[in-house]
Amino acid sequence: MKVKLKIFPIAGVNSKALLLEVEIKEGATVADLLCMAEQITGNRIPDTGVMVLLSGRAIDRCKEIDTRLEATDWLWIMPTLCGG
Amino acid sequence: MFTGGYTQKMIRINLNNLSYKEEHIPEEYYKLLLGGRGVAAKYYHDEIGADVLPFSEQNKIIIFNGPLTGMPVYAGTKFQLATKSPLTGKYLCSNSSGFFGPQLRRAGYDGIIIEGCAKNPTYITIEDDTVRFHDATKIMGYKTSETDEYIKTAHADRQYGVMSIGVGGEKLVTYACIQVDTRSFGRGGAGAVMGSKNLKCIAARGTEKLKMHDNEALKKYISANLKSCKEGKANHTKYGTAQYTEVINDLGCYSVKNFQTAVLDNAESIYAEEMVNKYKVKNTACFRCPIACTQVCEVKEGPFKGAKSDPEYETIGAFGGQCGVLDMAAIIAANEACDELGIDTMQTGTMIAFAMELYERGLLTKEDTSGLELNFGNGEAMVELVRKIGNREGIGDFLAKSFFEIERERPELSHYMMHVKGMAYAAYEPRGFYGMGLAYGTSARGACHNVGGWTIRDELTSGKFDRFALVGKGKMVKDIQDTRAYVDSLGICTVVRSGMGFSDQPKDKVLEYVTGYDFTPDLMAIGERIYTLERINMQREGVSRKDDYLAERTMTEKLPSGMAKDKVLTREMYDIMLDEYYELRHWDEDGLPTPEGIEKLGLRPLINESQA
Repeated sequence: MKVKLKIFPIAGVNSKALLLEVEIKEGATVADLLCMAEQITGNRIPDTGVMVLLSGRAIDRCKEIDTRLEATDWLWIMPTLCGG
Repeated sequence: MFTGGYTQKMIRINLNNLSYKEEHIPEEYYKLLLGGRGVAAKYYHDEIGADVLPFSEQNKIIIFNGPLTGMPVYAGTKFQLATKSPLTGKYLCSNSSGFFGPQLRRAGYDGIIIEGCAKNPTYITIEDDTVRFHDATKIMGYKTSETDEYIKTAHADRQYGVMSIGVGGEKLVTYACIQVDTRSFGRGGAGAVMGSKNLKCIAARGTEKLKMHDNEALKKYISANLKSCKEGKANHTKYGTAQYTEVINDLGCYSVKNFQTAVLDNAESIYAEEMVNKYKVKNTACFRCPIACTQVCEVKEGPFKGAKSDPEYETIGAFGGQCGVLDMAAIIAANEACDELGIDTMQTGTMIAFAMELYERGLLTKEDTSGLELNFGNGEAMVELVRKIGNREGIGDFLAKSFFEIERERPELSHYMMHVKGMAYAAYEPRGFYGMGLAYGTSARGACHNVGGWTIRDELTSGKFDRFALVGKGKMVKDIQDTRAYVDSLGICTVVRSGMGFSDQPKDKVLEYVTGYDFTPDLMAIGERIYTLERINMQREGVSRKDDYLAERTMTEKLPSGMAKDKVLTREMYDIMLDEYYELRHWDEDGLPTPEGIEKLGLRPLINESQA
């Protein structure tokens, strides 16, 4: 199945926003997609200053790393926003 | 009680007779209100009555540092201002970065109150404990950067912190700002109040050693946390707040074409990535900031060649999203023009977007606009209109007024005015996340995303709240507002506050290391106290529930596209949040603080009953 993955510009990861439709296997998890994002960008996604949105819902990467993805899901990897 | 931080002294300057005196600040004010925004609100309460008009001699400019302003902490750069706003006609609190606050502290002062009106153009220098008044005739009409340079050259000292106004302030544009080095007291028109007092500039320079309770412990704490503070904000260093544009637009919450929609199509050209890759020259930092989020950009070619400024999220939202301009060069030029004329980019962008919508609907004609084709997307017309507003020429004079003045002249235009209490919405669409609507409505100065509450993290990116839920938003907004009120009173920047333990659950001992007093357990209560004190200031100026509602468009029109498609925030929906909010604040159903609430918050000793 295919899910949408967007990686926003993140210092030390990628300097250009990437919007991809990626093929994943049935039962693939958030961890699998994060791993894929690291392979695509060639950089490690840092633990601080980055957040992950799963279909519009922010998730705790430690707690939800094994959450399984559905065909309609989309994942954003984005910088933490911290004040206007 | 305090063994560091505060100097407990302020200067009262009288422009009528060009005199000044030093005054002691009661310790109780700090204990109950911390400093900065809180103490400025208290002096406003005592000294600027409900009947004082913004441009009258009786209006005052009240400036206060927080206990951390100028201190060796992360970004101890912020200081606060209170005055009667020409934009809203009511209480205004405003904050700025820059070097003025830290220099004032080194000069030995926590604050300044400026009263009266100078007979002739004047500027003031504060050099340690000496205040001098100077003839400013020669520098009237100067751009803000020219004034800054003039002061540093004329007084042969580049360390001066300079607060100046541009032509916009001199000509009383209702949303003129005060430029502080390259930062500003942006919203609400404090620059026009300075202009009305014939005061072009105030500059401060101090050489006193700062007093701290435990300098060694503070140094140790600051250096131990520096790495994580910098790493956590690496994206701010690389892109600044401009990085929000893409996220907010993708989430369907952006300010677009006078809030007719919340998604800007083909917006890639104004995203941070494009700005940084094509226009960025360097980063600059505020006083002692390890993040350096300011992105200085320069246009190298085309009609705006040579323009140089540092666009932030809100400025890009005002000129890019609101005016539908997809040309970053035009945004950089409009930003530069605003900074040099000394007018607020946020209000200016929304006033131009308002005019563009009127033009496209035939409510303003080419005759009204002095020949400008004010269609959305016309970057050249936008930049020209900024110039006209700052100089109050033609259509610019009309748009330099407050929404209230325009409404009195042309009541049929009120449906297109996107504001609360006269202050334009920020670059977030409240139909895209409802708590932001409540933040705009209940902000202590008008539709502000900072004073009102930056709900983005809680509603859009933390997973804590459903952005379209209503129940629970009253508490969420109140907590964010209280946090911001105490942070604004500390004298630090909100971007780095969490690196020192300043959140809605305050921790660590930075304040104790500086002042010798452990404020930490009381900080949220102090924020709450400040917020209700500000409401009392506004209440006596006539503010009540009727003023806490959003613009008609927000409450009646559905969003046409994006992730928030078909969303609207009706009056009935809004009332659910507002009722919850009032109850938690101990305000009655008309939004007025109750005697029980005032008692509970410990506000009684601070309130002048005859004024209230």
